[in-house]
Amino acid sequence: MKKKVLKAISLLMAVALLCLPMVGCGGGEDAANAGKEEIVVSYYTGEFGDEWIKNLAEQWNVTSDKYYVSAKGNLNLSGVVIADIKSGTKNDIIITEDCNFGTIFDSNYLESLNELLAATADGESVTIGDKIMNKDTWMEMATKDGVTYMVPYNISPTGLIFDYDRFAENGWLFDKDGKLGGSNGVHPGKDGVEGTYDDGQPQNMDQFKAMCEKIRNSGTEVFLYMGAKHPEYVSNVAYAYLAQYLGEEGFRTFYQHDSKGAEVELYDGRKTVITVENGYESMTMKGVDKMGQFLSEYLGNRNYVSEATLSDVALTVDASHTQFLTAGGPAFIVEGNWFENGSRQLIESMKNYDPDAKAYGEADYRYMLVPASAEGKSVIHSQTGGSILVVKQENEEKRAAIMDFLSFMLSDSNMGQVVQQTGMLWNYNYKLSEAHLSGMTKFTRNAYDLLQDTDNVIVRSAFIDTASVPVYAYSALGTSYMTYNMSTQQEPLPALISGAGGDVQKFMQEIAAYNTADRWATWLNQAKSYGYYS
Amino acid sequence: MRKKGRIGKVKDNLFVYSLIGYPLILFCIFYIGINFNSIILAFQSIDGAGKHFAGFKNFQLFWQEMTSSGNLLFYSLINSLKMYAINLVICMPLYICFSYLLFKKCLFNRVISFLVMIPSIMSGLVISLVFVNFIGSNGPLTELCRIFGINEGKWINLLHSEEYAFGTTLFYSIWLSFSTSLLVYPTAMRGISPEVFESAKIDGVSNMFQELRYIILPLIYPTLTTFLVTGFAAIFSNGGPLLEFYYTDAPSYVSNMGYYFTRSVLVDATEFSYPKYAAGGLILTVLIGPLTLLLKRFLEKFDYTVEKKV
Repeated sequence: MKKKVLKAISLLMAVALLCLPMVGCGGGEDAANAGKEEIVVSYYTGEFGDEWIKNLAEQWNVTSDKYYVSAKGNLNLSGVVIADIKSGTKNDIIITEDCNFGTIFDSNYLESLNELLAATADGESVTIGDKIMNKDTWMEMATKDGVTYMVPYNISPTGLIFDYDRFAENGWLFDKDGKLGGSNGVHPGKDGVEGTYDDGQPQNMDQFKAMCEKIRNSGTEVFLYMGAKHPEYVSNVAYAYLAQYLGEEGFRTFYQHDSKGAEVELYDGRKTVITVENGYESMTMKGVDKMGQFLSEYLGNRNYVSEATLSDVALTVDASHTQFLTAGGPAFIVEGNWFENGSRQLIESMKNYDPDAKAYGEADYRYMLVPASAEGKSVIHSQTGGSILVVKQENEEKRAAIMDFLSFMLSDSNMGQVVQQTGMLWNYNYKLSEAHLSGMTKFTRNAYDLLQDTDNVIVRSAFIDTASVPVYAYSALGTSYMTYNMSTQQEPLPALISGAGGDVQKFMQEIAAYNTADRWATWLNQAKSYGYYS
Repeated sequence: MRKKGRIGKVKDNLFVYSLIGYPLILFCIFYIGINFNSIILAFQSIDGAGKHFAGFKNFQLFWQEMTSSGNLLFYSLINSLKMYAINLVICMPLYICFSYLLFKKCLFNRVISFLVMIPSIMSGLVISLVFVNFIGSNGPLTELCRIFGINEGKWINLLHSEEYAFGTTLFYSIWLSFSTSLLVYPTAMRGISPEVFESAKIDGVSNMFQELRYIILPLIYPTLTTFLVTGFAAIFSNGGPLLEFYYTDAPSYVSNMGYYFTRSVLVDATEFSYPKYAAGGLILTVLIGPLTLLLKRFLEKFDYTVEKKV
């Protein structure tokens, strides 16, 4: 009897041993897709949620007899994605928020997307390739030996978000005469058009300072951000300042580490020609110190921010959103275009408690563009530089189905539907219908208009910039424009505040001390081993 | 009697095989395989052309960083050693005293046990969140500061100020490890036969201190050595609660070796840097492995619970 029981247990355990991994790997095919083969889309689930991709998958699935798309959410960025692809991923399409995949471009891991770039969505005349924003930069970064392995996904302007109506009520905006809180309407902003996303904003740093002082004097905390949890959000504001201060050419010298033969002034007064061989010098360019000064004077200034903003680990996404949305909360929150959709439930529950509170989509949130320089275009940085990849396929028919799904997803009407539903902005030029435009929240509309105003605004992404420069993309330097000190700090604000105690001079000295010729040579040699800079 | 064949023996042991099969496979893949790979990686460099033999270059790089002050690695090394020293000198005697009081069923012993056990019952992530919010700028601790006028009623930034951060993370680690100690030591104490205590009383042991010193400590010595040896072996792999508190943004003055490795892999998510960390792991193993064995042998010399061969 005892023997029989033991045998039964052994058998059960052996079966469990074999079956458990299979159960873990098994897909959840529903009745509507019975008999079809699965196309797995792995996508980064941020604050835009997952409903949009599930909706698109459902719509496409009814058009295909042989395949169905299923979406699996995760929080994977390039490091994990590359490891996953190299170890034989089960995913077919990867949609993620960065684009640092250069190291696997020529390794037979990914499908060519040339066919997709040449395709047009149903009823459209512009190819998907031609819809890409800043196409040349993207193609240069995503193409190797004539094969394009990556198409863009999203772009997420991140910066100082404020409630326009609140600013107007409190006289924190500039009128047509440049007077803070003046009575002559509102300044039309750089685009010269009244009633748009940039109305009433300061046009130079003196005005910006005056506005911050007025807010502070009214007893309102000026800036709110998650300094301990997400210091990288503030980096977007800092780099936007730097990019505008240096101008397009200067900023290109900064991150491409090449001044094209011109002499560049460094923070200590020295002048040098920057080539890729001494590229580390660009990290101490004059301008980086100005960025430090800006952080010190504004976002790191204890007159404008609370200690909690600077370094309270308990200040989470929800906690900071609650603070900002509460009446009398800080004037600006450093956030991205996902902010409103991510706070949807919070806004709705606040409305339940306070009938005077604004409902979801009613508040006129806008981005404040920091006027680092009165000249040139305004700059805003994106927290993402999303990309879409297709993993190498063996079945030609399935590969064609994948391309068809992507072409469907990247149609103007589908992209518009996603923008309207979630506020996510695609890194494409696409035409939105009147229904989509009028169905957007005010905030999404402002963010969309800002992105479309290419005459006055440049939207940069550290992910895209660094992925397009081999010394980042093919070395351990990674996706941050620069490393600050002791390898602990990848972000400028903590490097300045906790690393250098708020002292800009020390901040610059630490950058210089860390980014040495030796360290640079290691990164450069790694990039050279991939055939670059030779 | 017919001799059993090989198949028969396998059948007889099927239960055992099925029990250890799965863990054994996991051990082979995730311990032997990974460590083997790590040893090879330590002697390689990775670049666009593939992997190359790098000799001891990675070891040199790691050693240089670890021993030059001002580096994160140097801070991490010092903090790890500090953590072990504090654990040894302050925490261990504290654990033993508390355990003894619980063993003697002191006043409120059940309440104390419950409070100390909470971190073990709840998820580590939840506990760390509760702790972070408790000491946060809007937390109850700050409210107490306001009520009693401590620090002029202002929030004390216990996790980021250079003055308090290391102490706070250490306090949290000690609090969490209390539960394990207060489970293991009293159990070991309860294993001592009551006759031993009675005979000790007859032999003149008259107070609690004498009982602890002359009866309990020698008899729970094997448990003590287990804690000492395993604690020593984990000096450089124990990351404490830093990942839960700071994720990858812990200030250098709280970093330790366990955290350093995890953070480095998370931040330097490129394979170029892996050989250096693999070499670092080997260096630390070479340092700590023999010392652990020596410590074990040394401590065993004082184990009076084992009868010595004459």
